[in-house]
Amino acid sequence: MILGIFDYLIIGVYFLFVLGIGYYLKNSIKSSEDYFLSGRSISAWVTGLAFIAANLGALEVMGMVANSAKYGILTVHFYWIGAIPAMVFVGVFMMPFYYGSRARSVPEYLKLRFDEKTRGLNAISFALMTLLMSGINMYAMGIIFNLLLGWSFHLSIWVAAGIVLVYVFFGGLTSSIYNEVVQFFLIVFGLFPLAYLGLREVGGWSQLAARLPANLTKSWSTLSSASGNPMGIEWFGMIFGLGFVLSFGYWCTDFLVVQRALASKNLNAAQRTPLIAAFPKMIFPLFVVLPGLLVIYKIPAATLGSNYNMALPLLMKEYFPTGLLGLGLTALLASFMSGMAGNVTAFNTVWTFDIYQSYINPHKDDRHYMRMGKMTTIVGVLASIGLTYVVMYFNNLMDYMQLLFSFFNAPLFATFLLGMFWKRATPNGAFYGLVSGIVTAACHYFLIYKTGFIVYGSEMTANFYGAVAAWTVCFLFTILISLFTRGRPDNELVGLVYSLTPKQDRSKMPLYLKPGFLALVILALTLALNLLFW
Amino acid sequence: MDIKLPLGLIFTIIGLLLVGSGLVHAGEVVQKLQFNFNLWWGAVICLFGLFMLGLHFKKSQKKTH
Repeated sequence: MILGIFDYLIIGVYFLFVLGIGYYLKNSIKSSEDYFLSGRSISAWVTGLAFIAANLGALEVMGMVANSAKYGILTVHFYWIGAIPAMVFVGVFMMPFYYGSRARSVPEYLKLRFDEKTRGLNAISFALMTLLMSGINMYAMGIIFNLLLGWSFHLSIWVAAGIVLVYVFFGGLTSSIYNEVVQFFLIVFGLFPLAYLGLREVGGWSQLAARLPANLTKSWSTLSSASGNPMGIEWFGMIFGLGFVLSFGYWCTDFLVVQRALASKNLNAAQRTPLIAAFPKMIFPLFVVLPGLLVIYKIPAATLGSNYNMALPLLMKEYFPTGLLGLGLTALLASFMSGMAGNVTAFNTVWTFDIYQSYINPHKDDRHYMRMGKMTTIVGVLASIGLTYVVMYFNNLMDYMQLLFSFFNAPLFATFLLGMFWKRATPNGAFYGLVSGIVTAACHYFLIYKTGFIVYGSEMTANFYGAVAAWTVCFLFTILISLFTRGRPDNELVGLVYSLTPKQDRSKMPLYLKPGFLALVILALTLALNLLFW
Repeated sequence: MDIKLPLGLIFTIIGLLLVGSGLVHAGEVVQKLQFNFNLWWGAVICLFGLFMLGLHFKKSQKKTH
């Protein structure tokens, strides 16, 4: 791909703005709450778009297009089953405890609800994994822009990381959130043309569907058995593995996205954050699944080969002239850089409060922790770059990352579910239940799936069932151990558990602002979409 | 800082750049896409940017009064 002057100008304008936003915000950072949580002052529509943008990393966007090119319309399940219900749940039911408890992070909630060892397990595992994800993100960016444009792998890593460092160092979470909102609109403006131009060329959806194999254009009717669809999965695994355990495990417990809601200006805004995010999430298949289907139609199999991750850039090359190409590539670049920024802001918060303040240097004043946060930003970015080079030498780490997340996220969701809705869940129950869930996930993968003891339709199916097993074991063990161990007294759990938290009076709130009403609208629309593409 | 200001500015500029590419490279764009999509899409993005700027200045005026 050769870029023209307008393409470079668009990329240049983006770089200028992200640096400018970070620099402009530096004078508004006066406390650690400003730096790590934006002073809990951001409007719901901003945190809502940042919530979804934090999830829309370039690996996610490119990966979903690749998935669609490989599996067809089944990829919509990652959105309509694998995200929307969980986003609704976390907004309506979990945000009152996350936000209401004034916890500064997900691990801190675990400390308030249970104890230090539960917090420590989550904090350390999350900190390591989020840094590794940042490294993987940068590695993928370097490779893709080297392949597409011939940019130096090393230069693009260091320049992109340097820009992220500047804007996060100066502007903290607010800078990261504002740039995520810019990224969101860049993705919409950069990817919508693909869907429009592709459909226009084919002659509409029904013409495209007619040109593709039937099992690639029906989202539910091929799920009665694993052999009936290219993903090798049936409806039970899809609903309970992806739709329940993995999806809820990610959206309800991953601090990278939850942090955006914690930056909201009040509880109502925090609850509306994931609900507002659910609307664009619902229509996102238009930007990623439809292009993936267009890849099947447009790009010869010989050109694509087995390198499905290049599907999106190849489609851009087919449809985008100069100018539009610059916009599309800027959208990808923004996604990579926001991905890194999101991981770094989540890491520096968890490090500063849940590791440094808890175990290394407690009882310091707020300015000290704010300075620590800024230093950690530098360390976090440098560590991410270091991990980029580690991934370069061990690039099957990328394949294992999603697996690793599912080892921890699936049982963690059981811990949160019981923690927030069952006051009898005890600290020892939570900790040992969580450990048993993680061990179950690992054992299922290595001892059951990899040995062929159970044969699954695909690796994805194996991961879905592994997540169900891990969640179930954690859930049952937490209950069992809790019944025989001491819990925290009720007065320490007010605001942390459903039965001990006063309900908000929303009688005077307009209907369209009530989380429950928004949730019903979202679920109804999602159901309609599922039926439309049955 | 109200986010609508940088949001409005960046997309107004990007929209204008896209419109510019549609004017300067009209032949190439039309040959590839059969119509000057850059022109139209650039205008849409520019309008979005201006809309955001409009909301920002309206909010600033309310604060002044």
